[in-house]
Amino acid sequence: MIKTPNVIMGSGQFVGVNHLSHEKGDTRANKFKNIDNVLDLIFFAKEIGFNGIMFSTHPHSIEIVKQIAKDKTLSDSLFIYPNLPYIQKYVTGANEMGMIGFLYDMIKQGNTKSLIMASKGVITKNILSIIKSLIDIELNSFKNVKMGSVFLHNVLTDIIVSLELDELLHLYIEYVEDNYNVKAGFVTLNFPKLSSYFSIKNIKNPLIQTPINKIGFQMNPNIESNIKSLNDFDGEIIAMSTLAAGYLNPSDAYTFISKLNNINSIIVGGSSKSHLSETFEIINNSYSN
Amino acid sequence: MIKAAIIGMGKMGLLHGSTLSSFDDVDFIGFSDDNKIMVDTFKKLKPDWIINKNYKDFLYNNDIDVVFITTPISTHYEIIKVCIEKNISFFVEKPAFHSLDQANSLSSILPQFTGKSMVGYMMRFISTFQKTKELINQSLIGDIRYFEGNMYISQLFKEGKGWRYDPKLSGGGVVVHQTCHLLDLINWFLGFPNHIGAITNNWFSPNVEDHAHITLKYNNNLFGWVDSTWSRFNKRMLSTRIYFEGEFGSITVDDDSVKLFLTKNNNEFEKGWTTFSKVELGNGVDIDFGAPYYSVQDRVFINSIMNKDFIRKTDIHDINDSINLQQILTRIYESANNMGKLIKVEVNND
Repeated sequence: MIKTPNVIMGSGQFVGVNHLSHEKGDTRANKFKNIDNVLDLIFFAKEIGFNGIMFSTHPHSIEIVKQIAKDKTLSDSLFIYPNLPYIQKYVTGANEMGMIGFLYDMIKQGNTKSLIMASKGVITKNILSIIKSLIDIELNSFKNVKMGSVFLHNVLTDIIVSLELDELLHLYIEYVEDNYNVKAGFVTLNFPKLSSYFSIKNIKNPLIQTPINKIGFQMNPNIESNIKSLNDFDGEIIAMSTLAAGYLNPSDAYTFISKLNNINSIIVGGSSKSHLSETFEIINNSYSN
Repeated sequence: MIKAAIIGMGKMGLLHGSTLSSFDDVDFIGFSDDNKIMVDTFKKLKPDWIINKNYKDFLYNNDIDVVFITTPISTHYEIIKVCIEKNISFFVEKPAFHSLDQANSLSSILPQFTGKSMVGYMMRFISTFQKTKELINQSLIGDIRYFEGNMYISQLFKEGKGWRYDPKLSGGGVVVHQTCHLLDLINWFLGFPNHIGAITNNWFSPNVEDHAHITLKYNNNLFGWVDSTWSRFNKRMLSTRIYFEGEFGSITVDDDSVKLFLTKNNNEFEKGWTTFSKVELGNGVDIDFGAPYYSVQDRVFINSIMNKDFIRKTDIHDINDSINLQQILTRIYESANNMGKLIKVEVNND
């Protein structure tokens, strides 16, 4: 019998992310501008059994994390999974200042340690030092919460995999694990490709977050190769986009997922208590049937 | 296998380079960029790549079949000229030109070019807009008499920094950076207008426009308008929407869905509403960096160079289309400088 996975709360709805409808995303974000509404939902999620939350480094997400850090009940019991970085900020920044210009601008926001490291990097034109500084800058807001793992955003993961930037891959894993004592994870929209690359590079027991759903939404290049890679995978998998951005009904979605091997956790987003509660119950029922 | 390279390893260069590296039929050989950090970094990370700070040396001295030009707009023209001279197929990010003079000058040397070209109007490869093209081609709503479009994002609420906000380097503001996508879609769906009128506004940028409202008039009584700004509240992501009204109904398309409304049944659809969601319309792609249409775009271009069939037949926006589009962009600014006066557009329909 397949073990019931952990359920992690997604937080995209708090900052306007909705992959099915931009308009709905923007509308929902208005409700969650009030952090009390966010915390109320997070408390509820914890009570019913969610064991963690995924957060990007969107400015509003950072404000939410700060409030979680102030609440001992939440900060002691809930795992927080940062997903670095909030890519839209980098895209907009690169549009404004060019990529290198934006990276320099980000560095200025760092603390003394990261500034020193970054400055050395700038002087020696060593991008690897600059990248380490950026990791520190992005993770600074999470220092007072219990981090589960730190995930690299899918755009950066998939660029590293596609260009086979082995040195950056190892830098990220080693820097996160040595300095933050948590596992370095990777988000990808191209799981078969990543799985093959990680196998060739002998990455042991990798932690991967990837879309898994009944209709193959965001599962590239196709659902069949993703399911095959899932069956052959030797590592930990967190399934995301399990409802295909809300297109699938939860019963169908989780009946499908519950029959798959190797899924350790599932990410579920929700903008109301009833939605979270219903989805959590359906997941548990799907695995117990 | 074809040999591909990038000129300009910034954000878009990295995206296209990563996409091309994933294609089994492409040998990605390297890039040219004048930024020392990018050059030094990649020389260390990818010692097998050919990397050169000088694009002319790079193009003249290497065996390259196709190059992706992702440098700032003001540099496109000179790089394209070298590609034409050497008959290297090229992709260039939009807009292709800084000015109408550049477009006209290039059109005089294009007849000698034997390669293929494409300009980065990637919205043609978004599944909802592809579906809309299909529905319009099928004449499901009959003759279209009216359209309205908008394109908004919450990007700029203070004076911007960098080359994008310097008209000498970029050629303009929101119109050349953003609205041109919407105008290209309209051209692709309906053809080129005969007259253009425009009002622009500088809200935060002293030297380029932050908002444009453009009217398009066609000889066959078709009329429409588009509105676009990068300074709109509550638009986290770029949001595009177009409404078409025809004899037998309407089509409303945005990034997420297509809504077809018919006043009577036809062979394929019933009277009333039919909605197509992007989730139903989309398929997996070779590689997805969070925007699958970039991968589709690059795949279509590579296939066109290799003369391969591609199951989604989509019109490529090539350099000739950009020469025509530059006419439209230029008339927009002329009209805006003349209080929105309608100005004739003359395009080459060959």
